[in-house]
This record gives sequence, C-alpha cells and structure tokens, in this order.
Amino acid sequence: MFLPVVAAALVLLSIGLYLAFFVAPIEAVMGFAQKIFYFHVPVAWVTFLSVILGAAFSIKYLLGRSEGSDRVARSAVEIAAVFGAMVLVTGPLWAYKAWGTPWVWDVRLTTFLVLELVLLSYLLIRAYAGPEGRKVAPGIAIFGVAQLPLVYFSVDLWRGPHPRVVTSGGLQPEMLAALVVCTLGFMLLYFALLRLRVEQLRCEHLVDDLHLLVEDMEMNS
Amino acid sequence: MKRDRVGNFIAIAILAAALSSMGEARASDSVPDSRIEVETEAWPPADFEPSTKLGDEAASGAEPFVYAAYVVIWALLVAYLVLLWRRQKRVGEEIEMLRRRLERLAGK
Repeated sequence: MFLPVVAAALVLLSIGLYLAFFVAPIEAVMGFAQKIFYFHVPVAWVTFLSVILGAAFSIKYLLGRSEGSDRVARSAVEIAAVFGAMVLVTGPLWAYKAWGTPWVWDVRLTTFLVLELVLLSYLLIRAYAGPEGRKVAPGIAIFGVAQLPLVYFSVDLWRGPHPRVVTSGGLQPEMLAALVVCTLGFMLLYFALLRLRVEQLRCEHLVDDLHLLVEDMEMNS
Repeated sequence: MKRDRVGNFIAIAILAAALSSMGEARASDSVPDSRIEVETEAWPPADFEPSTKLGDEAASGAEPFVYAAYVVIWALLVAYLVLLWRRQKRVGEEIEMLRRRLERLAGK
C-alpha cells in the first residue's frame, strides 16, 4: 500500500506543477512570485494537519499509555517540523521579492516561527530527555495545537502584510485546481511518510526488546 | 554649642528664603513649551486593506526565487527521506548483530 500511495502522490504533484506553471494564469497583483503559493500553502496545511494529529495522539497516549499512540504522535510531530521548515524557507523567498525583505515580524510569521520552535522542542525532548521525555513531550504537542488558531486566524485578527487570498475567495478556477491537486499530492505524501516513520519506530522498539531478550539469554546460558 | 545651633538655623533660614525667592522668580517667567504639537493618526487606518503589490521591476526577477522555493521543498523532502533511510539502515545493522549473537548462543 505504501508504494502505490507514494506513486499517486508523485503523479498528483507532477500534475500540480504542470497546472501551477502552465495552466494557472499569472496573478495580477503579485505576478510570477505568486507561483510559490501552490506549494507553500499546501505544505502549511499539511503542517497544521500533522500538528493536530500529533496532539490528538498525544492526548490518546496520556489517557491510555498506548505505545502505538505515542509512535504516531512522535512521527506526526517530526513530519510537522519538516513541513514547517519548508514553509519557513519558501515564505521568505517569496517575501524577499514581494516585500523587499525576507522577514518581517508580522503576527502570522512570528506565530508560525514559534510553532516550529515548539515542534523542535518536542523533538529535542524526545531525543535527549530519556524516559521522562515521554511524559513531558505530549504536553508540548498539545501546547503546539493550542497555538494553531492563533497562527491561522492571525491575518484576520491583526491586519498584517501576509496575503490572505484563499480566505477571501479570490482564486480563479485554474488557480484553485492547481492548489487542490498540490494539496492532495502533499496529503498523500504526508500519510505515506507518516506510515513509514511509525513502522520504523515500531521496528526500533522491537529491536530494543530483542536486545533485552538476547542479554537475558546470554546471562542464563 | 547653643551659638552653633543658632548659626545653623540662621544659615538654613537664609538658604530657604533664597531658594523660595528664586522659585517665585522662575514661576513668574513665562516658561517656553518645548513640546511640539503633532497631529497623530492611528495606524493602520480603519479602511486599511493589507495587500502586496509588486512593481514591474520587482515582479520581473521573481523566477529564480520561485524555482528556488520549489527546489528547497524537494531538497528538504529528500533530506528527510535520507534521514529515514539511515535510521532504517541502523536498525538493520542492529538486527544483524542480534542475529549473530543468537547464532552464537545456539552454537553453545
């Protein structure tokens, strides 16, 4: 199931690229620079989805102490950090052309940066805090999801320079098609990566158990 | 001792009188106001609609930035896949090591 999903994702992303560069018209206000939007926005949405999944499975882990939930939460937060990094790199590339500077301390940009730092802190705790980190990290994932409304609605609540084309419904059908196809492609890719990482964590857990088992056998023999 | 106290009292009284007369003199002068009256406006104004409009000059050189953004996304994806592959390789090495240890145990 993994390979067909990856293949479907790659096909969709290829179609999305074609639609973005050859079908969707050049946007009147931002010009060619707006083409970044067809990957930047889906990647941001996938980040949001991954943060929500990470928090949901963190809550499930806190309630039931299930290893499976912990693995999904950890994988989701890790992939959210990767996709968040993509957003934080592609945004300034666009902003450098649009605003003349790669970064402004706009509320949307700043809250997203804080979200990325929260995700990184989760990963650092999981990597270096040992068994205690498993108790603390879910709280950080929940803190991250609590920040999402602030990130999402910041452009409406505090008027800043960050564009809000999608929310104001200003997309032509060709642009919307490119955006939808790219979003579907990234969603499929995301679920394939999530599945891969969860399986990998399960393998690592099994290997740790096997280590203990073999050590026991060596001591008893 | 008593003379010293009287002398101190007289000195303080003279000083206080001098200070109060100076204060009155300053109060009677017209004090220039150094503050500048400026009409301030609330920003952003109520009818502000945030938008980003590129001038022709800025829009013309956008291609490298757009392509760089797409390359960065794919580069980060590939980097993450390489990280996953390295982790998987490490797991495979550990499984191989465990297999050898089990074989040694079985041979005893």
